[in-house]
Amino acid sequence: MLTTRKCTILHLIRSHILKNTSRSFYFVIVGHYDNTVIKMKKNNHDLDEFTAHAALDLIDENIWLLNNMYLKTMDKFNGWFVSAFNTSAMYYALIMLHMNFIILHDIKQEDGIKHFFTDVYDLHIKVWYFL
Amino acid sequence: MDASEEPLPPVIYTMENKPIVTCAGDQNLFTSVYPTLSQQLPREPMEWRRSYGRAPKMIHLESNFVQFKEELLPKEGNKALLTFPFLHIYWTECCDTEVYKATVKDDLTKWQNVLKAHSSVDWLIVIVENDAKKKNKTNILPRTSIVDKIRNDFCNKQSDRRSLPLFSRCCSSSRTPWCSMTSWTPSSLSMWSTSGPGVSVPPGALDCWVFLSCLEVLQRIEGCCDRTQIDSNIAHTVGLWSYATEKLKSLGYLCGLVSEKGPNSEDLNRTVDLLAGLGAERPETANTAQSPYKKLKEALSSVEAFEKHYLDLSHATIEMYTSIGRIRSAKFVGKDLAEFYMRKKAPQKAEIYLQGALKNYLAEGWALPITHTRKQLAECQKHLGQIENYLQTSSLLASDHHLTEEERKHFCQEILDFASQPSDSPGHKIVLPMQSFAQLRDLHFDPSNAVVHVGGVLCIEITMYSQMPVPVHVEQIVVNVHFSIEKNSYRKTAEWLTKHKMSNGIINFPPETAPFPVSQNSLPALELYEMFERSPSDNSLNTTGIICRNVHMLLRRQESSSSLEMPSGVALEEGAHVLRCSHVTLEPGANQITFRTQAKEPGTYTLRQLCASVGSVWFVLPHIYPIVQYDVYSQEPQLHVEPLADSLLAGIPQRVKFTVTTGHYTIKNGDSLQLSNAEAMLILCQAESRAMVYSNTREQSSDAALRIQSSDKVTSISLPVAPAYHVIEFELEVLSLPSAPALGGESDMLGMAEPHRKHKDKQKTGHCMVTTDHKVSIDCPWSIYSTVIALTFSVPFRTTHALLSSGTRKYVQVCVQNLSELDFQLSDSYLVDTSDSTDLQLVPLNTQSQQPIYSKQSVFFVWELKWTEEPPPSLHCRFSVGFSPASEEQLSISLKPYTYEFKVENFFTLYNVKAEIFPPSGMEYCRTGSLCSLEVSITRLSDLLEVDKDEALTESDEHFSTKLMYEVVDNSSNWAVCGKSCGVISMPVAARATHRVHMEVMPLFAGYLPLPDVRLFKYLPHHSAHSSQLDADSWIENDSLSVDKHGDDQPDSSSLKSRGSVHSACSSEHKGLPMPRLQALPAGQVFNSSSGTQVLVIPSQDDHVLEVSVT
Repeated sequence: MLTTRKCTILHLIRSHILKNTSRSFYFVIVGHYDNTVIKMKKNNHDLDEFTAHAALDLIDENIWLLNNMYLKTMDKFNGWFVSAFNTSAMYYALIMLHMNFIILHDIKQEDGIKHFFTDVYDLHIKVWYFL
Repeated sequence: MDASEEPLPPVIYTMENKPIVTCAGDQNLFTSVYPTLSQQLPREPMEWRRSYGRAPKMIHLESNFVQFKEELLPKEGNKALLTFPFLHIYWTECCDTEVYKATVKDDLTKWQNVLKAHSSVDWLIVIVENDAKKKNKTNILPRTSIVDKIRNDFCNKQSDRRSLPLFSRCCSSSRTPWCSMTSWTPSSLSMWSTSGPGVSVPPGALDCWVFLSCLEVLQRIEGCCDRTQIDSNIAHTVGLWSYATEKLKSLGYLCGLVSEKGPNSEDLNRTVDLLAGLGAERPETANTAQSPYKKLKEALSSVEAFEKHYLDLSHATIEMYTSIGRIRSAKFVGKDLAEFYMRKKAPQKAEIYLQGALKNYLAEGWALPITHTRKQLAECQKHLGQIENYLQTSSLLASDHHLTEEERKHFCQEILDFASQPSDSPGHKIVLPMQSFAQLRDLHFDPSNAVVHVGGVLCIEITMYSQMPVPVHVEQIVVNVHFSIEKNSYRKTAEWLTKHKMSNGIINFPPETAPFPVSQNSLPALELYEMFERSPSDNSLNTTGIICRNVHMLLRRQESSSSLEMPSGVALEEGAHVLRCSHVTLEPGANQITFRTQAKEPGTYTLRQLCASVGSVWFVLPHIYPIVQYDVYSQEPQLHVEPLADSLLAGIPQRVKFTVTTGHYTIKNGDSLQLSNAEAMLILCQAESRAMVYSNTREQSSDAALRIQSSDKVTSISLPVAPAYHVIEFELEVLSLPSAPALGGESDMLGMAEPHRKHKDKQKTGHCMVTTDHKVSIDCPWSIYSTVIALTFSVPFRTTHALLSSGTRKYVQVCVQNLSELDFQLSDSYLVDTSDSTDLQLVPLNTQSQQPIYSKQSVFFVWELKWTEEPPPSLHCRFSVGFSPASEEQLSISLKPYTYEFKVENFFTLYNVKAEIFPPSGMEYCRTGSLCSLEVSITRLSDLLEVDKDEALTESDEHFSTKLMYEVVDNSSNWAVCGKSCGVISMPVAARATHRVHMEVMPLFAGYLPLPDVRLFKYLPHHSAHSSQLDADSWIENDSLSVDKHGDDQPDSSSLKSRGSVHSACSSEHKGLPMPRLQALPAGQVFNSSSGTQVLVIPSQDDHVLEVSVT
């Protein structure tokens, strides 16, 4: 069941990204235990995952301070902007409970990233509900 | 109007009034730069820090460049914003000190003086160097000289101002001219700092600038804050520390300060460039012992100094990150530090940082960082000579799918190379966990129930999934087995075997899901509950929310376990019992390995460890879980005899199954079972009996002929030859001869007025069958002791009898009830008088000789008793009927008939009782509520007989009389008996003597009413003078009338003895007191000729309510 969900989410997100993004990126969904659930990349950098991982520190600090799910650009590292989205703020009753979406991107584009996160979140919710 | 209602487009503010920037100095130079400058500058976003707590904004700023004129400078008091020049730039291309001294310096001084006169403090001097120009000159000074001169001449005077050295972009793509300086505020730096298209700086220049900027900012902060403030703001400053560390690191790598051999000439050249670019230290910090400038310069000047500064910074950063809980970031910096140590050939220092980072990544399951860090760790461990650790990390990396095939092969080869090396100390084993090398997927037993007898062969097939990228030759795969003598011997019996067959005998092992958060599995699920808080006054909802009840479980600190990459103390078990498989090549992926073993000692064997040896390297799975066990059993030979059906029926052939479990005994030719015949049970020998021989697991079977020899006392069954641990099964027919049940006495008769019964046989009330047990003693060849088995047979029939009368004519009725599930065919029913009185005749009224009797149904047989002279006082009868199962077509043997014996006593009719009810005189019918007369006539039918001779009989004048008590009872409450309802009469013992009794009864209902019962008792005199009326009353319940007392005071002790069998109404408190007794007359002695008659009662006319009783 979980695998089916995961595959579906992955597929949906991939098609969404391909449709909307042509730039380099590294995207990861981080689970309840700060583990990677889904990850996708379009670049050849080795350190992306390290950067995304270290960004969890900032997310941990900021989710208690901000009321928004979208945590904006949290960090900048090696020319990457690190933007994050946290699902735990509102949907505690769901099984997905606590997830972070992190994207590393090379251009600063708040609105686009925000839309992207919202779409992924939307897909995620749908897949969890209907699968 | 319509147009005004449309939504307004977003407002884009264009700059009409641009901030004025004046340009002095070389106007031609500025003109050449102007197009680029005016285009590029607005593209750079700038942070607009706004006052009054408003959030900063990023804006794009355009500038209006105008030529410098003194008139443009604001007069004192003039605060006009639009005409206010915000910045003054002096442009020069001068690279010659002579020219500088001659003209430029003078010009600059004038410009400065004018600015000073107008209190304009925001100025910038830009020196642009041109390669082409430089080449033509021969007396080129080092590029810093003009800048130094300008700095000395003009900037020193600005010591009261905050300033930072600024590396501005240069207009030329050439290497040298890149430095400028200014007294610009740090907040404005970003305008100039970002590299843009077509503009470049020497490698490292930006890093230097960032490093210095970070440290300057930090120094400023430290200068104006106390320790507490600084500590509380670590979260905000640590980023700068980290950034500075990172930049210093990259500078170190760039300048060859991290390489093993130190910087080469190219590196040195680069370093010189960077140092030169730094220029001279600003005067305000030049005299201090420490400054960012000095720090950078020092760090770049030598390998040792760099190391010192880099380590200082790194450690400080890690410490700060750790102190604010940003563990991940701390580990990330630590990983860089480890990399540095590795470069510096200090793997022992690198290891701790790598382990720390790896532990963090493992705990959170970040696959790529795990792989990356492990690779570094492997290198580190190799350098440190930690062979076991290195081999383990190598095995983890060899099985890591995030690495390329080549990398995996490399690490696998490292293990194989080590394993193939001749060991220094032979026999030394390197023990590594198996998980990364290969995984145990499933296990299959043959036989599948994992139970084998002593001497039997057991196969265990396992599937090992090799994680290695290449085939690996394994010398041996060993399973260590723990042996225990299990106390529960049941597991070893054949019975267990047959009942506990596993479906397929395959045990699956859960796949290893590494890398995955270690903590994930151990953490409990969230327990969330809704919470409502209501107002106590009006119960309205105040607060609602969700509470997590097990938050203490979820948020507790994770136990810091020992390092995950260290061999976890796997110890090889050396046991006496091992399963071994030698020389196996494990191909990548799934491999089937089969172990074969011959079972020796009986007991339970538990598979503990799985080991695979590759040279001196042993991969060990320390615990096989779920628990895998097999049993070896030794079994005593056994004989079981059990009926095929639920219960055995007596009288007809029944099949019984014999099961011989051979156990460790081998049945030889000539072995036989000797059955000592039970008396009433026959073993029926059939011509063709066959036995089945099975192996214990029931997998193989064969059949053999069975020879049965029977003599009077012994039946011998020759067993077929069978090996140990086999089962022989055969069936035999047995017949339990129906035994005559115990004599059915008079008390069993039906139709008695006062029923009381004594159980003389095992027949229980209800419908249970009578059972008989037969014990058979069997001698088995494997034992000197006899086995005694008991077989229980049930008698399928239950028989009752009854005496029926019609006046003086007598009939005997026998009821045969089939209690079994079978249908039978009854035939040849007989009833004989065993006392053999010639006078008595039993005339059967049944005409059919064959009679089916179905399951749970009854058949009645009736005989009439006929005699000519005085009838016998009692009759001993034997009923017999032939029976056979209705379904059986042909039975090989003739079956014995079913018999039933009983006794009938006092059956001759002595009295005829007749009751009549007459309407009141003058009326045709009885009416409800009106008194009617009841006439009872009791007539003696015979003269004195033997049965009359008892205590009640009295003799006077040659005439005999007896005392009888009558009683009128209407149990159905149709009649109200008025006056005496009972009385004692003296009845002459002579034929046709009649006694009449008159009574008055009142019908209570209308309709055809049955007459009230008239009961007759023998009245035996009491033997005590103290018997009271109370006593007599108590004998007859619900009767207010007294019983006549009779003055027969003759004491008789026998009256006491017989009391128990007399009237049931006698209460217990009168026990032991002598009193008159009533004895019910046996049913056969009284004939009620009016039984069953009815009287018509019509309702009384004035009744408002008509009650009709219909019977």
